[in-house]
Amino acid sequence: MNKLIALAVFLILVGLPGMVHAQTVTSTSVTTKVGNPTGPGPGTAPPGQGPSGFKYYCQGNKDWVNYDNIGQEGCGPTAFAIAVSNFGVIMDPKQVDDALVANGFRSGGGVTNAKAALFSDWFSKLGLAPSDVDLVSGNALDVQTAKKFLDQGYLILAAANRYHCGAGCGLPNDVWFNHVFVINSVDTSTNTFTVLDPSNCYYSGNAQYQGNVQASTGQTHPAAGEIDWFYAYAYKKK
Amino acid sequence: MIEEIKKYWIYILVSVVVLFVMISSLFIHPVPKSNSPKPPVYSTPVSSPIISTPQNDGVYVTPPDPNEIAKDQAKKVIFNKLPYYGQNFSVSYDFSKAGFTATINPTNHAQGLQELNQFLSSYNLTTADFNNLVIK
Repeated sequence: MNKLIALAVFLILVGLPGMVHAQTVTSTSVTTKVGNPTGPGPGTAPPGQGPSGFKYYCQGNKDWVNYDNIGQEGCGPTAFAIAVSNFGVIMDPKQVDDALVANGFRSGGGVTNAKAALFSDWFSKLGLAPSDVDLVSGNALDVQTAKKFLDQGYLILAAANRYHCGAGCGLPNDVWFNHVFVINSVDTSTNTFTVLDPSNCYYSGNAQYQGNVQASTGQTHPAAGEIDWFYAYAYKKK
Repeated sequence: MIEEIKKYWIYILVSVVVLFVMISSLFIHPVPKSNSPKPPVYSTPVSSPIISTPQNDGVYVTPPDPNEIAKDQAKKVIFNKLPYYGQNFSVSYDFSKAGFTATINPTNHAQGLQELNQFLSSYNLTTADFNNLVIK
């Protein structure tokens, strides 16, 4: 009987602290990696690092994937979060979504009027200025003109009627969708451009970390022939 | 023996409960092997990724007004001709302000303004079509 008592005492003294430790590690890990685990509300998640050091947000991040349908239809707010954060106006997709909805540029959980938002007082009050030169012509991005703006420190917000995420995206190759994205570079020699793509992000396969991957592989697209363009406008900090 | 079990039943019960909780916690909260965060995935994962992105041919952005787009593309044509010098006006682009600047000859201002309007109208544009046109 004494052995039994000793065993019980041993389990209490050694086992419980071990369990507490296990819980603490798990909790710390989640807290560190999930910026705002409290659910819907104003976001505070910092942007991740995209290609070439650009700030980047992933549309499917679990911090906002279920907030106002951002995961499914939130390329607009996520692209704008990327767009403004790269000029020091740090807003995550939830915060941008709130602003777009409040200003009438996004129906709740649905379609974004990205052009109206880009040329709005809301965007201007963030300290950002768009150029009203549409860099798309003949259903292709004019990379020569786009380069003039990019070389002057601009980024480009673009929208497409049909966008092909491409091989690296993780979506089936035959999936085309209506999209908003940010162009961060062009290559005039190959007539291509690279994007900060809200939908181009991956999860590690480990559910504990799935919402925290904010890095994009970046993707190169031909300026013509792949994307059915709506428009592309350069913008910068005032 | 039975006497002792009766006497120490509380300790036995606590031991069983503690054992149960410990075994359960192993299944519910697996202890990570390392406390360091996993690095983000920069390339296509080997396993199937979990993705919450557009999965269908849906519509997520409002189509632009074709007339507005035509005008904005005309501005690109002008942009690529800059700086442009008319007889009594000139047009340039101020990258720092993200806008066009038209400079009118002050000694022939009315004529210069008229020439500017004619220049723009040749692209089906007016000064009102510009988001940020400064006329000096």
